[in-house]
Formats: sequence, C-alpha cells, structure tokens
Amino acid sequence: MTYSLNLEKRGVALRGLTVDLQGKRILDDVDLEIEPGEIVALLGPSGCGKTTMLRAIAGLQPPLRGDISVGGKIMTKVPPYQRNVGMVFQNYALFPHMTVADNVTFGLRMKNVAAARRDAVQTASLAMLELTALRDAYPARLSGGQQQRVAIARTIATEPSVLLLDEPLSALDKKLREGMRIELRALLKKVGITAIIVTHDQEEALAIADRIAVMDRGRIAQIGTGAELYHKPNSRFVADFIGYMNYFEGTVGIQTGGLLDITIAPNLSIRAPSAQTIREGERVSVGVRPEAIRLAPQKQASVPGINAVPAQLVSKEFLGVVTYLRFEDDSGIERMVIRSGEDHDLAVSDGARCWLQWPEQASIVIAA
Amino acid sequence: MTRSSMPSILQITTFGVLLFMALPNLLILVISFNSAATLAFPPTGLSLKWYANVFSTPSFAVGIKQSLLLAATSCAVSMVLGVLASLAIVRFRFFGRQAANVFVMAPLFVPEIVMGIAMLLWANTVLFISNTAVLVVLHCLIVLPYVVRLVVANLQGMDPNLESAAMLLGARPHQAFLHVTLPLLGKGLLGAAVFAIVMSFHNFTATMFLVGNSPTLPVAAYQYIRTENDPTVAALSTLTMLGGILAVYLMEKWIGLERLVR
Repeated sequence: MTYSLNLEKRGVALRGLTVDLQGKRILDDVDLEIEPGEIVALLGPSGCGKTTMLRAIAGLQPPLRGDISVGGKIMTKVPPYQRNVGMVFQNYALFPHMTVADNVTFGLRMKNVAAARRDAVQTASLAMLELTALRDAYPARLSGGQQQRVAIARTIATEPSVLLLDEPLSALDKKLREGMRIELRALLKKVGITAIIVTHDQEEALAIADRIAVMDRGRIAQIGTGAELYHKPNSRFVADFIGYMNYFEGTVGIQTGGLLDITIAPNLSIRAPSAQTIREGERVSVGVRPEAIRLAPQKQASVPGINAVPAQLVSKEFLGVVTYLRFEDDSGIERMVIRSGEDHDLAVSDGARCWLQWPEQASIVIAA
Repeated sequence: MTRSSMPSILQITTFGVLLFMALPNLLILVISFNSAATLAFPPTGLSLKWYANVFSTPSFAVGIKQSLLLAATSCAVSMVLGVLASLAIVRFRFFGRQAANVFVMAPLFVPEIVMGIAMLLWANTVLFISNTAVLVVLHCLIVLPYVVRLVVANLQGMDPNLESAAMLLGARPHQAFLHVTLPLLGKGLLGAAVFAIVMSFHNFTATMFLVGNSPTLPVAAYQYIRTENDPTVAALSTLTMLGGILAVYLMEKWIGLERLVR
C-alpha cells in the first residue's frame, strides 16, 4: 500500500506582532506575509528576534500584541499542539529513547491515528527522507545530517501546514553545511511545504530561501529576494549584512535627469540614481559593491555615465577565483575592489595610485 | 617510559583517606564476629551467634517492618511531591520560584532535633493525632530535599526543546510529560527513590522523638545497646551496611552514580 503525504501549501501572515521577554521588547510590531509554498529566511544577528518570531509562530511564545494567521486562520490563541505547525529545532530535539521509526510516528500516536494509516505515513515519510534503512536506529547513533532528516521526517509525518526550521544547519560541521544548503532547499521544494527558516548566515539564506527578511533589533529591516537585497538595500544595515559595501559619504547637490550629484570631497563629486526624494544639501551615503569597480591608471576625462575616485593600492589578496584589492582613498578610508580571473586590472602594483571607476547606475543612495 | 614501582604520594594519600573513611565500619564488622559478649576489640574468638541473635530479637523484627513501611510511604509521597516541585522549579517562571527552591531545601539546614521536637509538639499539643502519622510527614520533609535535588538536576540536564517538540507534534502537555519527560527522567527517578528510601531508613535523631511502642530499626538498635553490651548491634549494623553497599552497587550498575551526584 502506498500513501502520499497530504501536504497543503498554506500562507502565513503576521500582523503587528509584538513580543516582550522579561520586560525587553524582542519583536516590535512586525508585519510579514508569506506565500503558500514559499521558503522565507529570517536573517539577522543574534538577538534580533528571529528565533522568537519562529517560537511565536509555533505557539511556544505568546505575543504581547498582534496576530499570527496560517492559511487565513488566526492562530494567535491556539496552543502549539493544535496549531499543526511543524518545527525542526536547532539541535533537532529527537527523542533519544525512541527509534527513528518511533520518532517519526510520535505525532500520529499522540493524535490516535489508526495503526494502518500510521504505518503507511511512517513508510512514506521514511522513504521521502531516505531513512528506511535507519528505521530501527536510535538517534544517538546517527550523524548530524541523518538526525536532521529524521527531524524533518518526524515533522512532515504530521502533515503540518507550515514548517519552521531554526538554524537547521548550524549543528552540522562546516564542510557538510555547504553541501546541505542546496540539498535542504531541494528537499523543501520536493516536499512542497511553506517553510520559514531562521539563520544568521547570509550565504545560507541566499542558497535556501526564495525571499529573505533581514531583521534588526526586533523589526524586519527589509524583505526581498537575494538579488533585491543585494542590489537595492534600503539601509546600511541590510547592505552590510549581505556582502561587502564601499560607502562614499557626501552632500547632495543638483539633480539632473534622475541622477543626483553628490560632493564627496572638495572638487570631487560622484553621481547616483535617486531612489527616494532627497533634498539638496542633505547628507547621504552612496554604496558601491566591490565587484562593480574597475581600475584605470588615469582619470578618463569625463567619460559619460562613469564615476571615478582616486585611491592607492594597499594590498592584494589572491583567493583563486577572485582577488581582493584593498585601496585607501585620500582621506584614508578603505575601499575594497574584487576582480576575478585573469582581469588586467590585477596588474596594478602595491602602492600604485589609480582611479576607481564604476557606472553611475551601480551607485546605491542610502540615507545616512 | 620508566615508572617507579614505589607508590606515589597521591596514591598513599588516597589510600589513607579511604582507610580513614572505612576504618570505623571495618571495626564494627570485626567486632560483630566476636564470640565474647562484649563490644570489645580485639575479638577473643569467632562466632556467628550475634547474627542469629539479630533475627531472634523481636524488637528488631518490628523495627525492620516499621522502617521499611515508613521508608516506602515517605518515598512514595515525597517522589510525587518532589517531581511536581522540581517541574515547577525547572520548567516554569513564576514569582517566588527561587524562594520555593530554597524552601524545599530548607529541612537540610534545620537541626534534626529541632524538627523532631517540633513535630512532637504539633502531634501532641496542637493536632492531637497519632505520632505515626506525624512520623510519615517528618520523613517526607527529611527526604524531600534529596528527591528534589536529584530530579531538578536531571530535569536541568534535559533539553526543554524535547517537550516543545512533542507538543508541536500534537502531544497535549500531559502526553508530552508521560511519553517524553517521564521516560527520560526514569533513571534519575529511580536514583531519587533509592536515595529517599535510604535517607528515611537510617534516620535516627528526628525519628527518636516520635516513635512509641513500635520503634524503627535505628531506634530499636539504640534501645538495645542501652541495656545490652553484646555485639548484636554490631551484627545488625554489618547487615544494614551490606544492604547499603548492595544499593550503591545496583545504582552504579543501573544508573551510574555520577548521575546522582551531578
């Protein structure tokens, strides 16, 4: 008899979710909308509230205010054992006194599901996670990767409407972790479940999630696809959290054809596309990603559409695929340039003065 | 690598301390086989008659029955109360949690004489109830700190996520406790129960104030040596020591003692 798990994709919505812990505000008026079947990563430094948000969605942490709904149904007051929300804990929290098979059927036994159906679900879950051979093993005997699969199998066997994963890869060793990212994403997509994953590792978030919510001090700083966050960060916090960013501070001058003129030093100005309404005389930061910058020995007199800033090469770090070039500009601020492969830009020698050039369109204006 | 065949200072010290701890008991062991009817050393001859005497002395038979009954009752009651108290102390955050923890531990710091007299006064001048009933309460108080200490240590060593995981899989709180917490606590609970029985069984000071016509075993032994000077009590002590050693051996074998003293 074959049985396929009945996993319905459901959306999750948070409205004004606020959580206090021991008098401290951990989540502050958070709104979040997650599409059915979507994988969303909550990314942020420790203490930003991402795990608390997961626990609130699971029902393990009652919110002070706000609502949590799953599949359009408000769940805020529903106890965890009736929420039908699955969670994979950071340390997997497998029951050490039960075999893999008993761990997987635990939820069904608690819900008094008939034995025939229980066996079918167990078989299907074990097969889906490739655990059939390990059904009689105890968790202590399993590797980290196997334990993770058991934790997922145990959860999906209860056919939850959403799967929460708290730092799912952090318990694995570093080498295994990178391979598991892609595997985990493939697995979640194969299961076809709405998933929320908490991580502090930007690469992990980029590799696994459809969208990333970058969190900062109890709020969502920005939510979007990896590319959106990388190319259109709305704050320095987001810009710094994903990749490296060079910043040029300056005063806004005139605006022509959708481009702001920003004076960053006496007699030195750069241009950047204006996103929001920014007034003349305002201080702004202009962010430039290190791989957008090219090098030139002389300033090419007013090449249209290109910004140019003088700087001196401090060090070159060859890392195989790419080379990191560290520059210092005239006021001693570090500028990072990343070039790849056999780029002729790499011919610059240490201490050499040259011009850092990048397209005006690659400049990102971020309110200072 | 060369290693001197001379024992090291550490080894000598260790052996010395162990001998120091065991010597008084070894003396009792030797005396219990003395053929002479005095508690004296060295023994003048060997005999097992005092062991026979242990089993033919009626007050000891009563004492064993009383002590076992008392130990079993106080163990059962204090285990139920102790597990509940430990769960509250470890799993819940409430006002006065620390105070509750200290309060449960308090009997450890109250002189047993004070506890014995206090209980006697409660029984005879306030409540007018039988001493036996109060004796059960007294032993529960004496045993409870040990039970709570052990169960708390075991609970603290347990991942609280296990209960959360159980509940997210659909287990109601009592199901999570029954199917996850309790089985994982199992060995710790067994250890706590053995501790409770031992602590109750050999209590003397506080118990003495409340026993009437049917004394517990330690009180019966005390009453015996007040009138007799023969090694019967030494034989009795050796037998109870054997029981203690057996309990320690079994606990080590089943549970591992390090779990208890953690």
